[in-house]
Amino acid sequence: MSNSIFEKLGFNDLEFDDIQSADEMTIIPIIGRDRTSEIAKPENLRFVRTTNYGSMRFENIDSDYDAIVPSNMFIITDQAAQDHAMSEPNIVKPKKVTTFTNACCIQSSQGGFIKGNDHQYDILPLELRLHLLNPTMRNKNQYGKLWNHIGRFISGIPKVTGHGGHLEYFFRPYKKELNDFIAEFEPVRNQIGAIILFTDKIAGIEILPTVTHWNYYWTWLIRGCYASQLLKLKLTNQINKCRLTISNIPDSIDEMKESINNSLNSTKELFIDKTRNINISSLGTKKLSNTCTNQIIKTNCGGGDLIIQNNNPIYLSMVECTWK
Amino acid sequence: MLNLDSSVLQFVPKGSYYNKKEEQLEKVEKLWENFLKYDRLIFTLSTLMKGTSYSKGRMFHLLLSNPVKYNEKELVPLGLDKDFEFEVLLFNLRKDDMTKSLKNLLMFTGGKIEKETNEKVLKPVNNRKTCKLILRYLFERDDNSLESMAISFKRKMKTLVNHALGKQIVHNILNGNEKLFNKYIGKYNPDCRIVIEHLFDKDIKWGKVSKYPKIKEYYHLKEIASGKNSDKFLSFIKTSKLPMRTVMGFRNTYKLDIDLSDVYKQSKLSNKESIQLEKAASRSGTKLKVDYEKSDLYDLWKTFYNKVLTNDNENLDKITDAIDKISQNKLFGFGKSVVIFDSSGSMYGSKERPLHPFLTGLCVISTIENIQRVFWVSGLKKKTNSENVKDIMIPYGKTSLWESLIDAVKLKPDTIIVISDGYENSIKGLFQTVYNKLKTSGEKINLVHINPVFSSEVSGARKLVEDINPLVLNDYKFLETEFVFKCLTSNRDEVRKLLSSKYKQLIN
Repeated sequence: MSNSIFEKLGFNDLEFDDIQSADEMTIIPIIGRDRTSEIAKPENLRFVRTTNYGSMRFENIDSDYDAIVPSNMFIITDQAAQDHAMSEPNIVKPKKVTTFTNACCIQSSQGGFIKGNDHQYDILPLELRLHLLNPTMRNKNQYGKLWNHIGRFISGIPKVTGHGGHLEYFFRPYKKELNDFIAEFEPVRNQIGAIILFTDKIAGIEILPTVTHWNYYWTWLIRGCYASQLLKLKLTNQINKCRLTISNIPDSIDEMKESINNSLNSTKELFIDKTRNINISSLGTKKLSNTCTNQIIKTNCGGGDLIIQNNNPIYLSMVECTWK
Repeated sequence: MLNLDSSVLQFVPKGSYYNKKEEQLEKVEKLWENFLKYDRLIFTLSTLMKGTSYSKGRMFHLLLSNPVKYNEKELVPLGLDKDFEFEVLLFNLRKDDMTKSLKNLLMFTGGKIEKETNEKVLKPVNNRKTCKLILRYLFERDDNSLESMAISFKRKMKTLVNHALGKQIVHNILNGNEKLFNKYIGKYNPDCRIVIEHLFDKDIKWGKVSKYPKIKEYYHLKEIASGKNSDKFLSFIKTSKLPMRTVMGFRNTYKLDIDLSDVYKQSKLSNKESIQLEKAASRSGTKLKVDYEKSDLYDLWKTFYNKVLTNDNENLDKITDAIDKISQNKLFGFGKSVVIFDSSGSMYGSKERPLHPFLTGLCVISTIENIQRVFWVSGLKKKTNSENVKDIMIPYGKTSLWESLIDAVKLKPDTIIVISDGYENSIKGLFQTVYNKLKTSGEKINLVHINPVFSSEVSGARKLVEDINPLVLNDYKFLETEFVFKCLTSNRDEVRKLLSSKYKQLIN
């Protein structure tokens, strides 16, 4: 792991489980101990409501620790209310209610405020997250800041009948396909994160503070961020349809297992090795609470967020646009 | 070509790890319609095989809402008479659990299928056959059974009688029209006027000797409950023969200050109710006596898992002894067999029916003879406090079936049985690649894929190997049904003969 992105960012004690792969998406589970014990459980964080256009309110209940609001989480609601997304990750302090006013509207011509906690939650598609890496863009208190990008993201996708800043025009008709993506993958023991690849190119790296956080949020990440992006690429013919395969299997049954495992391990190492080539630089740091700061990182063709708690990195969510 | 498997007879709208129940239902409805168009006779007779009540109910609904007249020339060679369809429906209703049969009959009234979703409303069916079916099912039974039904399912029976006869006829019967009573009901049970009066809350005129003592008790208990007399209520249920659900209903409706544990202690429970309510009764401080050896294998595995997962150590060995005893009666054989059991995360099933695919798989391997070895793929082991079963496997983790395939082939069994939902990710398609490679390398592999999960995207079950259709099993008892469906398109005439002979054996 020497000189890997993990070491550069201070994640020193991680291991990688066996590859899981279905069609064009491959996942390498990252396993390790919980990064911290001083963080609220995902269930302690509740979305309360949108208080205005571009303002999302959360509550941290029944916990003595900070609660992380995952980067770029979004809500598509069945209520007569405007769908919203967070521009960045954030912290809600113990037993506090916090309103974030730099959120984005992702449903331009719909009025009304979202109420209550019972909605479909996801993380924004990879391509849209890239736009929110720009500090000026993410800090701007202007709720329509993502509309043009959403319009471009959904354009040309079959079954998307409308246009403009409506992310639900894509997510609603493709709900089943997106859920099928999640069905292809399964969390493994002690998993806290994953390297995600589209064909053989890295699309993202996700590390959450604890195994509990991973078990809670992995479906939001896979469906909302990665599956949606891959599906869009497939539907608009921007990615070659292919599947990871193992060839040159020996004829002898006694050698077969070792040979296949060697091939799978080599492929895994090859993919992990690709993380070494990711160069990182900082786009700035923001204090989130007394113990946590967020560092926006920039990479060769993407970037993301790194939350550090008392000098210990506990959260990484970064995406790469390597298919172009 | 007809794409059909036995999932049409095994469907339960409960969803799976992957698909919501609405998605599944939409697909299965198309399968039922296609099946009916393909061969109405087989469609009808197939319900004589093991299947879920829900599937059969929906199939009856299709049959009665699309009535036809058979050509006798078609029926005679098979030994069937023109009323065989009606007889099959009635036989199924009588054979099934009363609660489920009533639910199926209620489908004819056009009610909502699923209370929770409020989405699906069936078309009401009200023709002569439906009316006759409802009335024969309800009233052509012994007094004791009729009385029990009238107490436990009063509202359902009332709805059905109203649907079958119409409000005007019911009104006339209740007002003493004997001719109408005898025409529709009395011919099945001449003395059941009291039951009708009970269903429609008419003042009952009790004679000196009543044939329906439980109905009398019902009104007596209702009177005590409405008077809020808890002591009298408790003392009465000690000697009465009223079922637990009725007693509990009065306790709750009239908000009586009586401990749940007292109701459990004093009421009459069937063995199935006992095993279902064991946990709830235990929470209220009561121990229910359950005869595990008379329970169904699936219920036993389910109870055992529930107990281990909630750290309840009571009766663990009694349950495993019962599982052991029931499992000695093997139902199926595939020669010397090796099992590859998928224990990955997705075999956990849906939130609505947790662990169902996994438990179905456990029942399958408990009833197959001559299993040499079981290879568990993924899963988490959890220790138990049972002397007989030291630990259990809980579905978790990735799906890597190919390694076990190699290990299984090395043991050279007659059959390799794979129990899996067919979702393979480590890596997808590798099972097929290894299978092909082993075959071309000269290995003889007889593979049976048993899939306990209906997958809406393929309208059936996911395959692991292209040329092997999985046996879709929602319930371990349906293996026979599955084999019949396998021959459905390849040997249609044989299936007609086979099912007609089953009809004669069961009904004639």
